[in-house]
Amino acid sequence: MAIPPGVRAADWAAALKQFIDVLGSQWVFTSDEDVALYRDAYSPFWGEPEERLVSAAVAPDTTEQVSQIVKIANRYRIPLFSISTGKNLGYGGSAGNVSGTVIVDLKRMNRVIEVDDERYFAIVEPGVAYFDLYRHIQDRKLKVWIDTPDPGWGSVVGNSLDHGVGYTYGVYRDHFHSHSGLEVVMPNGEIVRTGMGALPGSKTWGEYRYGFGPTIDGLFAQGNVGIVTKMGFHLMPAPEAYQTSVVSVPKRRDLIPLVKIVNELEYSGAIGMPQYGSAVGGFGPPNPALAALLNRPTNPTDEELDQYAASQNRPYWRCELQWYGPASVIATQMEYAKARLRSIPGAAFTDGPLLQFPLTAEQLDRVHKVAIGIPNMAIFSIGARSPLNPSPSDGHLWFSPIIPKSGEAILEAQRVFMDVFRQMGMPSLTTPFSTPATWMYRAFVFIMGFPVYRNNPAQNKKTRDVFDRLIKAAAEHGWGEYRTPPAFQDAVMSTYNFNNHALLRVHETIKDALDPNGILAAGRAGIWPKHLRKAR
Amino acid sequence: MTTRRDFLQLALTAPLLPASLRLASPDSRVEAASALTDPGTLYAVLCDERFAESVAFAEQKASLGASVRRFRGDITDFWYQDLSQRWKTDPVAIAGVTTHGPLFCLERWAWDHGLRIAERQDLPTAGEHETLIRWVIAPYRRNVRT
Repeated sequence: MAIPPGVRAADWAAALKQFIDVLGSQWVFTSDEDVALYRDAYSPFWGEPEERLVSAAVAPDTTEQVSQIVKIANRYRIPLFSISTGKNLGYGGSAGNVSGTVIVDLKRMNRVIEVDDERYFAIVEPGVAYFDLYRHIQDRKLKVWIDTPDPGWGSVVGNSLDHGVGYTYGVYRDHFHSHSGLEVVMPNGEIVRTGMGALPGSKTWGEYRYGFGPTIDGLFAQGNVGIVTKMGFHLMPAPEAYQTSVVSVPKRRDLIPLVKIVNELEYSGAIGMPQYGSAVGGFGPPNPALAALLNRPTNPTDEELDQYAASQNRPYWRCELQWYGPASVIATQMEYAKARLRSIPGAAFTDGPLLQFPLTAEQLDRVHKVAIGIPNMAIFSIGARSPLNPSPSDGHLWFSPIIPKSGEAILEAQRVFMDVFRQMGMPSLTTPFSTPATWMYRAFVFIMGFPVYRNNPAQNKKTRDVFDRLIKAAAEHGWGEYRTPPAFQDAVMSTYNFNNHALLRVHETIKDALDPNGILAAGRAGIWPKHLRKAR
Repeated sequence: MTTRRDFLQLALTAPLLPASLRLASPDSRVEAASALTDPGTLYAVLCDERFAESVAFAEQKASLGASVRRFRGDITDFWYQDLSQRWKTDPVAIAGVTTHGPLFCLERWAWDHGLRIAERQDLPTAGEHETLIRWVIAPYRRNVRT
């Protein structure tokens, strides 16, 4: 069993005994076999000395137990890292930022406190997975939807605290934005409630997020000054119907008016989440004509790409639009959207079926489930070796830069990132057909998934190098990552450096004030406690 | 449309390297490691209908009395409709021949319900599909969610 760094053996033994006194021996895990469960399955350092490995784990069942654990950790300077369900794959999994951390595993705190389908909110504990909340709603036939990420096995609270996102309307799919009130165990063990939750007997915890006075909730999202033990959420009324229509536009630069119009439609409430794509590039190795274009020392021109798309008899871009609500309202909104988009020459539409709820089994089988708030695991059915995917990896890292929500920004991001891959001598994950994800309401995330391998540290090193270079290249163009694995959190935070890292210095001041012993999630988001802080 | 699945597919199809699945050693303390040879101890055998090897394994276990659950790559329905409810109160053993993805999910859920991998073996790959794994998940004693 590893001892946390800087902790004396006698103190470690005393802390473990006191953890057991609070939780019972069955909820304190120290064996190698138990502790191994908390490795980051997608670690870019797998098997290397830099891999973050934990020393032990504890699994409290109540907020009061969390408080006691934190007080013990403070007494003996034990580093803690809390997880909800620990499914943060691609962004660090359940491992902390430093080896030797004790994981506070909140999986047993899985109570749905309240769901209201007349005022549309929920209050849950961190161990509640999207599947759990969905089941709670379905079992009670509540007329309310959740907004779920893909896959759906993660924690509602944990995903929100990592600024996770989903697939429906903007106000719901930004999961931290849709939160309302927290219960938090602070680094000294004190239990604090925020928003209306701070008012004993409050009737609006899950509805009005601000309460009174300054809001501090953001400190606990991607932060390290508290362990969230309850959270309120706004929920979406279950609509009567759902329909999609895919608009296609023929030319590369049609993307610019397309995004402009779709933005207007979305921000005026006329559509749900749009999803951009291109049928031209496809997956797998490009055909010879496209490969010849892409493998040149310089990027192909718009005209060349348009000619290629035309030669394939395909429109360059497509965007799926989504509507929720009564069928008559959907029909009106869809017609309005089409009228607006027809201003782009060559725009064409393919309507999906109007789906009235509840769906038939066949409809359910065909629909994109997360778009209608149904958690699922279908994403894990891909990755199988195939002619298009001869080399399945062991996991992936997400590179997630936020770029402006414009067609111009997409085209610029393609160029910038293709240039980086070319300069680094790596096969490019970006092509002239790449589109960003639209999960964020007011910006795009130009996300890329880098494969990681457990048996090839040399390749993982190359991946880390290109990842670091991409972080810098993005920052040089005014783009910053919204979330990143622990291996890159210092690098990302270092790009948010306006006025000589003023933001980080504020974070460090808060960290020192609230967590003077630096026991909670050291290094998370690049925020280190004083005793581990390196000179910048 | 471009979904998270597409992004992942794009990543996974990047022509970077040949790869093989690295499989952790089965936990030596797991109980009921006899499940492969005694289908009566299994709650269910998973059959991914996309793969002949999986179908053959399931049919063989079914002939010995095991209950078979069929799926096609996506484990969601079996998990949500069936296993998640059963494991809440009864951490029963399951087995199957699947690709890595479904097993990856089941293994992590199993950890939270007091089960671990008891048997795990890569099968020889025929054709172009991903390595298939024959596995048994069986009750363990610790680190449960409920």
